[in-house]
Amino acid sequence: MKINEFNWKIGGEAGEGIMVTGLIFAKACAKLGLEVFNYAEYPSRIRGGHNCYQVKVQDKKPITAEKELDILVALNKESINLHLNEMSKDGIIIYDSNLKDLSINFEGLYPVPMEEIAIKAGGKITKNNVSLGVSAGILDMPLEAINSAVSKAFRDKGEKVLNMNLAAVKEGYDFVKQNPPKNRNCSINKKDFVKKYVMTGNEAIALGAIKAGLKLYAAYPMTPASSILHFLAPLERKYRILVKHTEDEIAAILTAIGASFAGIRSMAATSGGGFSLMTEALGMAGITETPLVIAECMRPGPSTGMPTWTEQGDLRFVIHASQGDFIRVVLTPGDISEAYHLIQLSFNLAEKYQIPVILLSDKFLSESSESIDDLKHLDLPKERGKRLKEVPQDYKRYDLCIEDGISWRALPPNPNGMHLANSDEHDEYGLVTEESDLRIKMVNKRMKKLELIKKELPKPGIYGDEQPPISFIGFGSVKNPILKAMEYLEKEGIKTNYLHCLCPHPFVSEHYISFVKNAKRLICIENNYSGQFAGILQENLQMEIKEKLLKYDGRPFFPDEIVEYVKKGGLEK
Amino acid sequence: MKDYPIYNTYQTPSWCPGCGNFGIWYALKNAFHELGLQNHEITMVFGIGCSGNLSNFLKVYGFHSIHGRTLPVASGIKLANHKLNVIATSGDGDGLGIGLGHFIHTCRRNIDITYIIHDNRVYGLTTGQTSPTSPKGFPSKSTPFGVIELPVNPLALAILSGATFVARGYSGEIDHLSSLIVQGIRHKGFSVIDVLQPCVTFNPSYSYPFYNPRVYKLEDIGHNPQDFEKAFKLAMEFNDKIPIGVFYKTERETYEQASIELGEKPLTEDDIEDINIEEIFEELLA
Repeated sequence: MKINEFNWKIGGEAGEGIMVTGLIFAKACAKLGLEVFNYAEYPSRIRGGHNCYQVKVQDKKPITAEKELDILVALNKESINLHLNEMSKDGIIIYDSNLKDLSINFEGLYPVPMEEIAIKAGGKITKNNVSLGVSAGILDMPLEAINSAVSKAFRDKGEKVLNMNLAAVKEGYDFVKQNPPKNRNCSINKKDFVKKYVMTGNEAIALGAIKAGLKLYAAYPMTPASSILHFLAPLERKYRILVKHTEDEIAAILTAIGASFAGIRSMAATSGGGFSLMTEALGMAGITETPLVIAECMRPGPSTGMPTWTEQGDLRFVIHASQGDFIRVVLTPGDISEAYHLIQLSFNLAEKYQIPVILLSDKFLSESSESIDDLKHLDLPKERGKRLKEVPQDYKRYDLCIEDGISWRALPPNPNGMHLANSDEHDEYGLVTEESDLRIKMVNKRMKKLELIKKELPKPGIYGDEQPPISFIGFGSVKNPILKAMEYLEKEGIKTNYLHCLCPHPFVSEHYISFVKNAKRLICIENNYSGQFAGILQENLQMEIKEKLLKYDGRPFFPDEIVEYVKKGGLEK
Repeated sequence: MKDYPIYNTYQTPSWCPGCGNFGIWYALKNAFHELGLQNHEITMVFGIGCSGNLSNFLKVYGFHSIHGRTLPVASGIKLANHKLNVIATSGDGDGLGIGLGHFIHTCRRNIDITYIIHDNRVYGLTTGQTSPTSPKGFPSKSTPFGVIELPVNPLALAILSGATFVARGYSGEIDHLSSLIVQGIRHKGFSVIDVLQPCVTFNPSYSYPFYNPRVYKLEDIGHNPQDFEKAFKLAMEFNDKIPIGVFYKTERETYEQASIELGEKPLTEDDIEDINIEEIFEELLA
């Protein structure tokens, strides 16, 4: 029997409320002090098609989505067929006893008259909550935990609806107590409530941005970035944030640039397709030295690709996007805490160095949610950079005499501060120039900030043992799957470590060199076809990355896959 | 006509002698003077093309954006600080070709920006290709056998799309144009001023000899700009007679007024040092 450690999944047709039900279950577990990691899979359509939401529950971190299921709540036959091969041998499949002709040979089938119970509780619509009660019953979970999460989720629906749903939970729970399953492989032994948050990567990005003083957010809906827009929009009046759904991504980035030019912290977010539209303006932020923060939440490409799935295939794209040479910083958070922290750092770097900063996420990080104790210790003091309070006569916005290349900003309508933010190459006032000497000086002015910036970029995180036989390296959302795989490998006596890159560009070689040189067997793990990060390591460190574990099926890495790869000794030849 | 060199930069205009952009440049400076605006009280956004080169000749807070993209930048500036006087200019190729989408959406938005279109009906800076306002049949470097499409009608589009001040000026009538710009800046809402702007080099058939005998002023025929239907009819008139003046003017809540979160105080004046997000955290509690 596994205590406080299991993998639970609910599956059904899109539109059946799978996501809401899954989150309620996860919050109930978190309320009991357990760590949860919630991962959803859904097709790019509103009705029909298969949706599923899985909740990994554990005592402690690291935690990530895992493949093998202990409990499957199957709201339709398709869910059983699709996920049967994910079931652990002693797992349980909860399904409605009115599903006929299953012809499935699995020991842990646990039929429950869910629809019947739901109708008794007040309506068919409460079926999902019956399944929550059943799950709680099987896990010996205190019913109050589920009730508390249900109450919060249904608090705006009126007392009648809430009571109906609470009754459904209770009936489901009672059913299990009267008809206990033959076997079960997991349970919860927690009783007390604790204070824990559950949030997605996108919520962490939005929260961090608000904390950083975001005043204007411009975006055009695109999965998996849209939930940032949805999170911020209802908060615009309370926090005085102008949230603008613009006509397209081009307008989104330009609106953010205009707002930044006027002096406020602004941001736009999108996915790869929208970022493609933004690329021309990205360079404009570069040449005009206008601070800019963009969140790019990746999904599999090219083109429309697989809109609701995950991939890390835009790394090279965001590093190289837009014509010409200019500085941009790319930050790659790997979990909720890092997303919250690095978006704040993005605003500081953007303003301090007057550059565009791209926070690169992906669907796995952006839309998966995780339990978190607290984030406040990660808050950063704000660095607004060189903003003039009083502007001297003969002000030069792009003053070439300033040693570090970071010239003072004047904001309209500050007297004497007139200048041109010019997408053309320009002189110290911003006026156009095509003169050779000035061009060189201006490019050098902009580029010499690089050395200063490099000193402030976040160092990679290094986890695991000293001098182990196996070393992993990666960026972004592969972090949790790798850390979990390391834990499993450790149990089998295999020592490993992991270098987690938080800033792949500008690349600071000193942050990597000793780890990579000392690695006995180095494996670069990334969610794309070509090994884009491995390529960046190779070109900067002038050495070959021999082993790459790559995945590009739209799914995140599951820890088992990494464990299996390591034990097998590499890819099949 | 008077000139106000206080608004000049050290650079001298690079336009061809006789270019209609000179008229727009003078008219803008006249309008600024008449409105009593000091240099720092003006924020302008420019596009790419001969019209965009104006950015180098006006000493104001300026943003020289990329091709077709003046209005979103101007909108961002205005939303960040709605106390600023924001004026955007672009050419017909710039604003009505690649930037046409932004134009219609900004009309819908009725944000308090004055938008001046330098409409010479040709691409000048790229040396003479067809533009969205070139007449059907117009031969150019990119359409040697004549344009097949019908031209875009910026005034009719603006009226239909929700702009609340729609006018046409002529750069050969600087005082009149200047007065339109003054009215546009004073107007609360999105003001569109399409300016007939001769390109003497690449579109000589639509130069001063074409426009001078044809233009007439709407105020001279007693047109009532509140009359939507008449305004629309006049916007369709472009033949032997070409009306200039205010076609349409109405009052509608601006985007800034409708965005309650903005209130009186511009966002630029907010103190962001200590933002309490405890309440949002509470919402995310399990």
